[in-house]
Amino acid sequence: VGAVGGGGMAGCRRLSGAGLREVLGPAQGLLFDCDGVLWAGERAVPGAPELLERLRRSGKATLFVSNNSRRSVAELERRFSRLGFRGVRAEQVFSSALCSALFLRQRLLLGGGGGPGRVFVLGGEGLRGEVRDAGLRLAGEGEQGSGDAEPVRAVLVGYDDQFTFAKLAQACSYLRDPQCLLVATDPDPWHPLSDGQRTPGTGSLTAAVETASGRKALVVGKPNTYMFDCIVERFGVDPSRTLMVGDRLETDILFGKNCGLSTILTLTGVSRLEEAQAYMASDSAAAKDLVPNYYVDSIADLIPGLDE
Amino acid sequence: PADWARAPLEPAVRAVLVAFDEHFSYAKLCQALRYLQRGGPDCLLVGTNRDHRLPLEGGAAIPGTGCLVKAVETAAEREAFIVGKPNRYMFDCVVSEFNIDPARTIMVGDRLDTDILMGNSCGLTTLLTLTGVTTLEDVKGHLESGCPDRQRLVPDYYVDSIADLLPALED
Repeated sequence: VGAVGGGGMAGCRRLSGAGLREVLGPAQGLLFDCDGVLWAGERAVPGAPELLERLRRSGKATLFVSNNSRRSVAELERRFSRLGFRGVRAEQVFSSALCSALFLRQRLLLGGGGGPGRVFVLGGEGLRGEVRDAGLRLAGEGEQGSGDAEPVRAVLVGYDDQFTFAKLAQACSYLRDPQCLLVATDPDPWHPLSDGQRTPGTGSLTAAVETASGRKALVVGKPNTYMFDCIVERFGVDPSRTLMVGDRLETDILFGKNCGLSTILTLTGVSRLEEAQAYMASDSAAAKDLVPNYYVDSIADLIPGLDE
Repeated sequence: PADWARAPLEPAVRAVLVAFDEHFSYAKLCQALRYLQRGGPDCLLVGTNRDHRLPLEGGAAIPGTGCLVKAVETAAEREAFIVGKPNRYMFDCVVSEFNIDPARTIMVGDRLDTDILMGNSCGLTTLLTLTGVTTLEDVKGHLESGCPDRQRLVPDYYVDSIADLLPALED
């Protein structure tokens, strides 16, 4: 029962007792999704701050990988603190906003071939700030084309609660240039609200832009592996000694599988145990990749697996 | 959005209809999702059509209704019932009002994936006119593709313009 990734289908086994120690013992570090894992809305999951503290004391690395493209890393760092998580530093936090900016910097600034151009961002101030911090310039909204302005070389679709038909049309006009990239921060179709309702996610807005432009977006967030590349570049993580902890099968667990990590599903968020079991029972090969290695009711259940 | 999600929902809403909406917004998308979630299968999701783009003069285009339908379908994780071409619902409407014999009816259109596909699916003779979005090269591509789905986009006949039909009607 070691933390081994890859090969064969995961078993979706409850992690408890001796199994906990066998899995957590050899792990050098854990990657955590945030929403639905560490907190739900403005409430920390009970025991989650203590778990992170115990992991720190056990000498295990903790890193955070979130598809949420609303907030800048600085805002997330403040959120951790406000919700009772001590000592989490900005450099430990990888949001899809940050990683999309890094991706665009890589492709536009460092890719050569003419100037970097500008980026048209469909998203809030948190996302726009990350793009600026990466050294890129933003295209304004409602601008008329002017011969001297740098061309728009990428359209970035993120969580945009100010999304409108007009912005969709503007994005499409930029995408008529086949050299203009179409990038999306994450594929999430919806997000849960604390009262059980759902709010549309970036995935739904990206679907509109893809349909209008006839293009497929490059998706930075989970389950794609780019965010893991960012993590490895900064921290040099060994996948075979790292666990991925998340609440959403189609993003977190598949991400873990794609990156060669063992996965733990926590049931305090989006996905239900029945869904994981249904994937396990399915004949489709793709469904198998959505089955976690282990599950817990809450990440607080991991605490007994750590040394006193 | 958390605030919008607290606004009261109208109790009697039993369907969400997505049509061309130049005032489409995240807030409206959010409302649509709330009604669909509340109603489950008892709340219909209907789209007028799936057109990706509405062409303007000079080669520009604006996003079509299909984009808005896709946004709602993606958020709600369910498929809309599409009324418009190439689906046959509108043809069924015509048939129920006028006694149409498909074998003696011609469908005239400029778009392969809506007009011609519907005509072919409904057993009509199909006539493509080249005054709109489709070129002859487009048709050739489908004709030579060998793919059955693409073959269904090929019209029986074409004209450069529907005016070319006039000589056949003189006398």
